[in-house]
Amino acid sequence: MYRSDAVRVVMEQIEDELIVSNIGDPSKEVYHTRDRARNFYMLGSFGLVSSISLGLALSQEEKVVCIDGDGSLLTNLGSLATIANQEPDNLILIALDNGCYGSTGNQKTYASGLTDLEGVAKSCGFKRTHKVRDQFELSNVLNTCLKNSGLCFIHVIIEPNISKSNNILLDPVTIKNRFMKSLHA
Amino acid sequence: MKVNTTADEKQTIQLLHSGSHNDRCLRDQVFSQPEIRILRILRKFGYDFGVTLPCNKIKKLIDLVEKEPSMKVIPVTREEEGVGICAGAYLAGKKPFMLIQSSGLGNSLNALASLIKTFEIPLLVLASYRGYYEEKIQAQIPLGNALPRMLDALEIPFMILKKDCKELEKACEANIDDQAPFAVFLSPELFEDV
Repeated sequence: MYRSDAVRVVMEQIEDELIVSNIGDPSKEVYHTRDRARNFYMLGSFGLVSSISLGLALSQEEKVVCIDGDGSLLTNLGSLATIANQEPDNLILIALDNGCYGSTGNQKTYASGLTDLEGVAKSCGFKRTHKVRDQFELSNVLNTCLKNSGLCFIHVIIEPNISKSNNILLDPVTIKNRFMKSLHA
Repeated sequence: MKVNTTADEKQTIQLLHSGSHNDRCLRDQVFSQPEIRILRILRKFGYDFGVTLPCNKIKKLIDLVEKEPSMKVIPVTREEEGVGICAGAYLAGKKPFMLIQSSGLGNSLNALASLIKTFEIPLLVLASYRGYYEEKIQAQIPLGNALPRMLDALEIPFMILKKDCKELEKACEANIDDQAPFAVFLSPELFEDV
């Protein structure tokens, strides 16, 4: 399974949920797979996608799906402790783990070595964690997480991508404004 | 009579919320404390979501804010993380602020520029100003000295609150209009006993 496959499964599965997607290729793939007002594409601040998602989940009741990556999680590991302890029941944290910094040339991360991100999430206090390795598993687990209330961590093992994605054709303020409008509509 | 906020915390909170005038003298004295004045200004301007990281100089203020019922307050592990959480809260309609040490403002600069400025998000950053006034820890000096120039370079407006808490209202007003970050340095002299 490549990241584009995982993103497609997620975007097919979700209905009205709010999406916050990681900087670089993950956001670009979400955008080109299924652009919608309820997607917030991160454009800078590497590592903060899970934090933005937490702030959003704690401040309103709708379900938030965070599409994070291994490199991004590793640069903001403290976020897992904050999220687990705050424990919003409307947040699904998806870690797409290709074991490398996929947007900058596939340089390896420590997630490809000895570090198991699901184990890290568990140790930080996440009560519901899952590890999935194919599209079928991802679809099933995500379906369960979407249907039920409760904080979830889904560790998705994927292959490093070879192809690059096209850019997002929206300016940041438009991304923000339409997202906020869709939330308060 | 000296009022110790920590010891008389319950009483302070009660005074703050009851609107009672039974003990006017005590109330006036409590309300003249800089921590209470800052909290009341934040409330007046509708700030309802905060992230905190401790600093010894503002421990009373952090304690008060964390107990304030009109605010959701999240302790964070690193300031940059707090910037992200505040951005998410803003997207959901909250009015966010940070309460941190100035050293942590240094940790947050990329996030303030690439997230808060880029997406035009109003964020009030209250930073206990270290390396500025009678600083005893040498390691605080280099960043403390440079921070105003660093913020200038990033075109992030800021003010240094030294004596008069009321100045904070100007920062709150600017923060409403600007859709941008605004940093307020809380000098240690603000919390000195008069």
